[in-house]
Amino acid sequence: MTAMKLSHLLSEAFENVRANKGRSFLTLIGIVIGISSVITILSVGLGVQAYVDDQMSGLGSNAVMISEGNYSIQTRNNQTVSTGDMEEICGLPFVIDCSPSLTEIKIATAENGKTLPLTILGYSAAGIALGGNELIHGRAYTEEEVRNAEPVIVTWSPVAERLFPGEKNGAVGRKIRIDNVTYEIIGEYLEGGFGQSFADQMNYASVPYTAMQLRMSGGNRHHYGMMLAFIDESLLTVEEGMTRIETVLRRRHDIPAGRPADFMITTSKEMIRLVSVVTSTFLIFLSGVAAISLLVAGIGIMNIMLVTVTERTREIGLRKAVGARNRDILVQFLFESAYLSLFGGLIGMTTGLLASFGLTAGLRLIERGFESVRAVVNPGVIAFTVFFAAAFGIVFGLVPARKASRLEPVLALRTE
Amino acid sequence: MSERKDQNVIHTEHLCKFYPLGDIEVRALNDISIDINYGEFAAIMGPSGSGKSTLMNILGCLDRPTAGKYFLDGTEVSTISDNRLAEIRNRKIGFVFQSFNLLPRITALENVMLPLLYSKNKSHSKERAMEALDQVGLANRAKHKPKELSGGQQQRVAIARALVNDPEIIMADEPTGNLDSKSGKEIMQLLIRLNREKGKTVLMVTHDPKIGAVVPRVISVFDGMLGSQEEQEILQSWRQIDYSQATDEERAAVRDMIAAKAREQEEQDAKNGVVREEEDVHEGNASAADAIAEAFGTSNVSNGTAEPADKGTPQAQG
Ligand SMILES: Nc1ncnc2c1ncn2[C@@H]1O[C@H](COP(=O)(O)OP(=O)(O)O)[C@@H](O)[C@H]1O
Ligand SMILES: [Mg+2]
Repeated sequence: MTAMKLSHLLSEAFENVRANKGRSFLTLIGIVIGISSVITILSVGLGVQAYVDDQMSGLGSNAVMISEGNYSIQTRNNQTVSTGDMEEICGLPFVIDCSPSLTEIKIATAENGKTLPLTILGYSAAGIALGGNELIHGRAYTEEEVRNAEPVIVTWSPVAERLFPGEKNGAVGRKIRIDNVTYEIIGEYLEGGFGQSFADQMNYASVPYTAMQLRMSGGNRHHYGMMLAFIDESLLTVEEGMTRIETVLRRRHDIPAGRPADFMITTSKEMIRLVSVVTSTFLIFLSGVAAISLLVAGIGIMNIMLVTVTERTREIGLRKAVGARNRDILVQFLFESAYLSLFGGLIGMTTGLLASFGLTAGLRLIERGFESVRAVVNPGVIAFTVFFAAAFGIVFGLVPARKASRLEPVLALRTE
Repeated sequence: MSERKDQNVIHTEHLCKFYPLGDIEVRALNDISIDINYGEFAAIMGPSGSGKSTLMNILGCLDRPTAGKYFLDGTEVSTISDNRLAEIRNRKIGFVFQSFNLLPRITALENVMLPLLYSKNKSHSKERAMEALDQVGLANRAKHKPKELSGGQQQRVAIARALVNDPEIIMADEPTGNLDSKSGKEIMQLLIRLNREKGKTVLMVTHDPKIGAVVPRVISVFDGMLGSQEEQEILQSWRQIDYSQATDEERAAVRDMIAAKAREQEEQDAKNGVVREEEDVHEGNASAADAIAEAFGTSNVSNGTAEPADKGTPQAQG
């Protein structure tokens, strides 16, 4: 490395970029757009990924999901997970707990006469504990209440607020009627959580699945659309558990191995993996678009530096005449392109961060579940991007700087 | 430097510079063997296209000869690496150009500091640059940008830049060619002072015969070879051989002949009232010639080698 003073190189680069303000500005636009889109994509993308991860983590990592039918083949019978199936699965030694997942839409009437259409989910105690549901008032229903099919109900805000305006504590202790059965509100969950994406348009509540089967009209008491089984991971891996359950179900449904089953079985891990594959594919695609804009910006830097070198041929000749070595000239021009690029990178970083926060603020306005997406500002990503911007200037400045450093002093001085 | 008074700071042997031009070569320099002593004040003279700049660029280590040897301050420089060459330019040579070549965006002081930026010895850069500016009488203009200075002041800044690293030789390519009469004289006086007081070897390039007529030593080049056009023609017609093989005695005789003819012509012109101004005489150069004449005396005339205004004369070396 040359012993040339760093401060001199810096002020030199600064002066030269400043002296060509208009041109430098135009070059910078490319870098600013490139870097800011990378930052925006990464911040919002990481935010979406964090949001999805958060949502999915509510599933727990030890759940096996069994659903009716099979999208890949035609099935005659849609209700293929029977109570018998579930009982046998629940009885397996490595299954800690299980829960069907039932849904009914019913009109609920409050004590005060207000009515509200409710989407009611039927779960076991383990089921309700899932889904990233955050209890804000009261309690969840217990295993005992599930066993006894007790008429207790939990709601997701703002259901309680809508049924009992002005009531605090999620209207715990209040009663509502559904299909002529009175249920006691025992708890309230924060809106959001598993399956709660449209809370502003829909009203969610949950009762023990047993109560739903026993006390609500129209419920199918013998089959489930979907069920969950929780594997004791100290005995088996979730994948092994899934294979065992599949074997049980195939036996019960009389479907030999190798034939398509009339049910679908998957693990929460697999679902999480699939979702993250989708989100990261999306991220990679967007990053590719940003990379192309950066490439275009880089070519812009290269171009402007080539023009600069041509314009300053005489200066280069003079510097060589007073003793500058090829390396000194190379370093000088690399510094200048790195400075240009770094400067653009810093502006790009600022606009990128502003855009990220602007975008998530916009998403909050849209709601529909997007309101929970927060831009994730990762200092590592920021540092990398800024470092990258400088490195980028060096890479694309290399060709012009080499051209400058190899100029013959005589020829350079001759140019008028 | 007095102990080296009779050594050569520049010694070349059969220097050639050929440029390929299609099937033929342009012989920009052909068989140039010269010696220049420490502390000499010399001018490379010749009409446009004769090879002056090519010669000075090679002597200034900005370019390499195609063939031949060049010893600068005792070092054979024609074969050394680019980096060593840069170092030699930095330490041993100070350049002054016709068009000043100051960097426009930085101050006079920063321009003077430029060689120190590439020097091994960077200590007290600012003080040394101020000192150099002071020597050219521009200490009070240190903070000015080049465009805030007159042409003469700019050239003085350029001389300060050439001086700052205390080089052995100052090489000036048409230093007064872009200047007015007053500045031309000042710049030349400055170069003379550096030569006399600091013992710097000053080598300048000029196409102006007025300067050539008064400078202590003239190295004439024509068509890439040593000697003025007339001298070369006469020698070739005498010897029917290459001019370069002529002996020193033959050269001296030819020069005397030319000088005598020139004096005759001059007298003839004076009688007939003819004023010969073939070359466009530049006022900066004219006053520079006056400065040299004042400083060194009209040496070329007094020792019998005065010549007409459009011819240069090679001196015997030493
Ligand atoms: N890079 C080059 N390529 C080809 N010919 C050149 C080059 N440089 C100089 N020459 C030729 O060499 C000769 C001498 O040029 P130069 O030294 O610039 O002359 P002067 O300075 O005396 O006017 C000219 O004929 C010129 O055309
Ligand atoms: Mg020239």
